[in-house]
Amino acid sequence: MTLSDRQASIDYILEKGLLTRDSALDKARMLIRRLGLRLMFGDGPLVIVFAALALGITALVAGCAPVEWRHSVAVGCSPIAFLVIANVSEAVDRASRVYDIRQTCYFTVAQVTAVRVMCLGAVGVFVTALVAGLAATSAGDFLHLLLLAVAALSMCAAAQLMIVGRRHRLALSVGLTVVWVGLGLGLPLVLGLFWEQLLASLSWVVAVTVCVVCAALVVWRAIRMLTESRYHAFA
Amino acid sequence: MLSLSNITKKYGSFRVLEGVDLEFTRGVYALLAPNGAGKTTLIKMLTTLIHPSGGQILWNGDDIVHLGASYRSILGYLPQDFGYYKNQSPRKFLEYLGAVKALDRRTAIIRTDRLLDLVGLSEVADKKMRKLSGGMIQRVGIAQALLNEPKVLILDEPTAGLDPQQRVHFRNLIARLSQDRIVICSTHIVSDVETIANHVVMIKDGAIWANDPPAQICRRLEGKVYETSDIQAVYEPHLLLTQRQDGTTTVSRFFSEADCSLLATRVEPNLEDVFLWAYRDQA
Repeated sequence: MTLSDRQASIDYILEKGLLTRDSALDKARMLIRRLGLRLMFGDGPLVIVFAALALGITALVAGCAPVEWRHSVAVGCSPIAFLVIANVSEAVDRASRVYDIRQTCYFTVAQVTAVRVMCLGAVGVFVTALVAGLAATSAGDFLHLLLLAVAALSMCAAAQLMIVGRRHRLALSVGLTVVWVGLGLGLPLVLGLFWEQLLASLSWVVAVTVCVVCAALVVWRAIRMLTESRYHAFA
Repeated sequence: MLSLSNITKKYGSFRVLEGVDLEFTRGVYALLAPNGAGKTTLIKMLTTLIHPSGGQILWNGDDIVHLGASYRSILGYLPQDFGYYKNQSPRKFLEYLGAVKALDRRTAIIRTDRLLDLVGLSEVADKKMRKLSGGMIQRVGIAQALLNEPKVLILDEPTAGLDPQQRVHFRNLIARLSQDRIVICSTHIVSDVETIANHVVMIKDGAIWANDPPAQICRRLEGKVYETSDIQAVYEPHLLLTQRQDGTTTVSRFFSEADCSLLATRVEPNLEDVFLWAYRDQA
């Protein structure tokens, strides 16, 4: 190190102070504080319209579906609002070409995506509770449906961060939502009551295990996206 | 100080840049090169949008990739193809980017107002951006790059879409800003560079061809640039640079290694001459 480099480094430290790298939790907290609701509804009107549509359709399907299909409805419908809001926000970012600027800001697109998925996941649990509540026939049934729905939501959240968060492409954002809606509708149609019975027979242990594994994947991936600089640039 | 040490960038087997060494201290640096020379690649590496295939980019001795957020917090960037949310107003857009740049709400609001005033957009601050002209959008882009009061300001074709008056206003602004920061400006408009740049960086064949003050770069062609109204009479080997109309005659400006002073008037070379001469084989 030359003397001038050394002096520049000293000046830098004196100016900024001796800083330690922010933890993932600190970053997430700061991001939520700075962006607030804009974290979830980046562009505003468009995402809010899609969110309202998705929530309306979810409530309608969950409320009107026959009781004997309640497990399929819980698994198929619960993550739709989550997927629509998360992916419309991503798609708007991508289509509006704000990506390059956002990527050079203090909070990168990857970091916003990570925290957005976590927050939407948390909000999504309430939506799944609503769906389970509308479809359930008893308290025990409600808990079983809730677990299945949360497991489905966790799987989508994990897929969102592992796939869309890694390969930030517009087609992937749209594709993930389409695939889930397709599976949610297609499996009951193709497999009929066998699919419904399969879901109904899934034990609590399996559902809890799926929830825990997927939630762990989400948290692990989010921490990496929030703290490791090599994940910041994926242009 | 921002420094590039032996930077190489490859896309597959195609080398865009190789062994680039540069140092940026306070002042305006103009990146001048034809399309495809590697200007945008260099800018994207400086803004951490892409990573170099080899070498390091250092800010005060630290690798910018490892610095991460602390480097990005001192970085302002205006991309060539500036994207924006069409449904938002300039004010909302700047406040949103202020938040993403980790400014607290109060600071973001104050700076947004100040910058909108600085770029002359106060009157349309609450109009949707899809209703604004290209020049106005470009000024929103300049404002967003200044939101976090960056120490490194990187502007890719910043004067595109600005009218002559706005260009002068912008040049004055850049000159003022460069007093206490690094401004790296990529442009094709040579007149912008000549008036404001302290240093001109020219890239050729993936390497730095020149990195000097404009006057020093122009000196490379000293005594070799001529003007004549009868270019046909010049039998010496020469390179025609530009032509302009002077009344009814066409004045040709050319470069020649040979002494053509008997056939033409020797003139002071300018940056445009050097640009045309340096990239003569890439027309």
